[in-house]
Amino acid sequence: MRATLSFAAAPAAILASIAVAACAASVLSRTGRAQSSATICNDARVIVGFMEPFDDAPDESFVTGLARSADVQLELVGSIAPDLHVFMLSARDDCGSAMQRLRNDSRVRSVDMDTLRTPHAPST
Amino acid sequence: MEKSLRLSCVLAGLALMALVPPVSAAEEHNGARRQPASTGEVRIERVIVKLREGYAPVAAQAKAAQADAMRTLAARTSLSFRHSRQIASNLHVLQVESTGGTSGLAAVLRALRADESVEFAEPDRWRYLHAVPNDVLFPEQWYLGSAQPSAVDAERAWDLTTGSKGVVIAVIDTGVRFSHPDLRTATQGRLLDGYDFVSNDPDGGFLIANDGDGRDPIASDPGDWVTTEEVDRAPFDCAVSGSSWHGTRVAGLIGALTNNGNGIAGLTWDSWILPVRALGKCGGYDSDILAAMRWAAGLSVPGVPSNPHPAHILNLSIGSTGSCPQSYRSVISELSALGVIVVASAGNEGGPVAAPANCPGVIGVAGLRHAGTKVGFSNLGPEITVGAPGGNCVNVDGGPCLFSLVTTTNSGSTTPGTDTYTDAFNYNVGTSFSAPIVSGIVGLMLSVNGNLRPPQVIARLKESATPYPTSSDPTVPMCRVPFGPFDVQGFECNCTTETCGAGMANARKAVEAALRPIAAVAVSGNVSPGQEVTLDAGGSTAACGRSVASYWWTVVDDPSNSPISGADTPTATVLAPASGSFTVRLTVTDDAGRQDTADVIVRPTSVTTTAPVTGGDRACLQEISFTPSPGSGDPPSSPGTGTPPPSSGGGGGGGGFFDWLTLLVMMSLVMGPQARSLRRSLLQ
Repeated sequence: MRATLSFAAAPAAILASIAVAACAASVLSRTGRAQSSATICNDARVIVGFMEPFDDAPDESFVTGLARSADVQLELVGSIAPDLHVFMLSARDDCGSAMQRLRNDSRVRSVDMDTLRTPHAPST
Repeated sequence: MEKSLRLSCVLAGLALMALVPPVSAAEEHNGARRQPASTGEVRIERVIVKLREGYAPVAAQAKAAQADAMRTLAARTSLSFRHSRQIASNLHVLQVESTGGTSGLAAVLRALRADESVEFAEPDRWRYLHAVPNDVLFPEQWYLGSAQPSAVDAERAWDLTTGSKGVVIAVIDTGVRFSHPDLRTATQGRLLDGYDFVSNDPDGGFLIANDGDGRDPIASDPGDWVTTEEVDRAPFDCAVSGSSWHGTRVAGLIGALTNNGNGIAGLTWDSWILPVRALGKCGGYDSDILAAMRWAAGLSVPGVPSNPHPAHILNLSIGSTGSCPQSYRSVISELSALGVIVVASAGNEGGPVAAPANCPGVIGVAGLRHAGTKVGFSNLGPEITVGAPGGNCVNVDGGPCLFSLVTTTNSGSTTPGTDTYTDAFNYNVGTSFSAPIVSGIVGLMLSVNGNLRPPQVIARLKESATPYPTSSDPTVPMCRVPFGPFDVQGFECNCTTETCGAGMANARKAVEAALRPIAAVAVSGNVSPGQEVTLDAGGSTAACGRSVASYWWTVVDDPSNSPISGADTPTATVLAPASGSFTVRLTVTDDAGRQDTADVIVRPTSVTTTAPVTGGDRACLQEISFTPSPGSGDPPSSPGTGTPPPSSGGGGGGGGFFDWLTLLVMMSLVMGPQARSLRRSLLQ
């Protein structure tokens, strides 16, 4: 009953190509529509880790200053931990560049896209 | 015949269980019968002694001579001889008096082991029937037995422990069906109340949450079906699917109510499950998952009340492709410092390990076929810790799925229907279900030794894993480390330690490993050449219900044979070398004869070790007593909105993205036999 490798000829190559394309599409889709749909970063959800924790959440003046220095727009969405907070990120260029500018700020430890994760149970 | 035998054994066991008092979780027992607690009075200890060559009377000598040899041994070791019986020419059962209790037996063993004639001495233990639960679907739970190579041998693990009410395992998932009678009843329950962390969508709506609100104390799963209308609406980017009841499936594997004559058995029979909802339709955002992880571990999350029952283990049967984000690294590091263990599934693309299973400090779990080879869909790579059954069908041409992982679920294709179980037709496969098997095993490990920290759990899980077999089918290739995100091995392959972890998780051996003590070493004072260095093992600890019986320090790699004082005490002293280095090895033995070792490297000006300074102070985790709060559980069911999706014939998967199997189902429609063949290879 077990499948052998014998079928892995031309049809397999076609299947593999389709699969790779699908996989690539999947990866792209998971990094957020804001990033993949255009070069302009528009309302991408990001998780920012800060060097110093905040008692509650970063205050408005801090966020405004950080956004100005990184040449981005930031809107606080929520908090995960004293040093991890969620923002909506917009910029005049692509999200990757905008995130990198934030990372370059000495007050910032990390910036990750707030990715959608899925259950690891295949649909059958 | 076998079934009736098992049934009678269970009934006999239950009857016996009612006659004896309960004991602590770490005492050796099984679910059918427990040992009486020690009284502390003088009693007879039975010990099996093997004499070295030259010390044992030859086989032809009379029984009297054999008994004399043992009587002499007892006198020489200052033990009060009562009786002996020969097993083989140099193997005897010796009965001596002790002052009772585990320390009495430990003293007897210590005295015998110190005699030069003794090769080994070990307790003549009482053995019991294996614990076989009476759950009606237990015979279908092949993955809990030992007949199949990848099965985890939970049956024999249950002879050592069936879990502890002091252990909490968080299921960070889609929520659970509190109504499921194999998870919570009016009088019994495995479910704590939990919390719902699914926040609103970026546009302020609640499409992902699907319960009409954001974060709240209701961790019930309302269903995660996705309609044709919803797939085109932001923020969705997933396929039409029915509700998966994913969290309910995961929870059942970890700890369904067991030995209740109903449904299935869980890996643990006693530990608590903390349902933490972080996924809705199409999955869930990292920000909600990370908040859920921190809350589950007892850390504060802004705007959320604190968790009254912090978890010791987090199960994450979720993820997506890509490297481990910094945000996960940060949170997992926090959790690890607290001693919280994170278990995550590898993912189902047949490619590199998904995040967060690929994050440092996480127990990443790959999916195995029944035969111990990698199941086609499972991701693989060096980040994996161990493999565990992932479910495989073999018979995929319309017949029953032969190695589905039967568990709790719900029949509703959209909103909740009847609480039920998966089976060979409504089958259950995926690395999502490999992870909870391992989480359950870790739960058993912590039940006998709550002091184990994440690195120790990982090390002992690995050392106790069964080496991977190689398929007898020569067409099955060796698995290889994926060379990039698009390098997919969506077929069965022979696991290696580089691709599927240290081996196949084994519950029995993992619990045995957990029962070992923890060797700890503290170094006091400054270290300088030629000066004394004091090494203190007093912080070493034993498993729950055990005690440290002895310490032994040796210098293992020093050509100059450095002296060591206090070699058989908790505190040893050595001289720091003028140059070079040497290693001192500490061996800690508990009163059951189980050992742990720790190496200490001594240099002229420093001493280093990977051993902890202290083994901890919570070997026996304090039992949690919990009564569901009024109104907790499932809210009244409301009808689903939107157009129900078409019914799927299979396991009602995770409502996921464009994963391999959904891709193949679509391809089956347009490409016919070739696509079906590939699908077969994934599930076989």
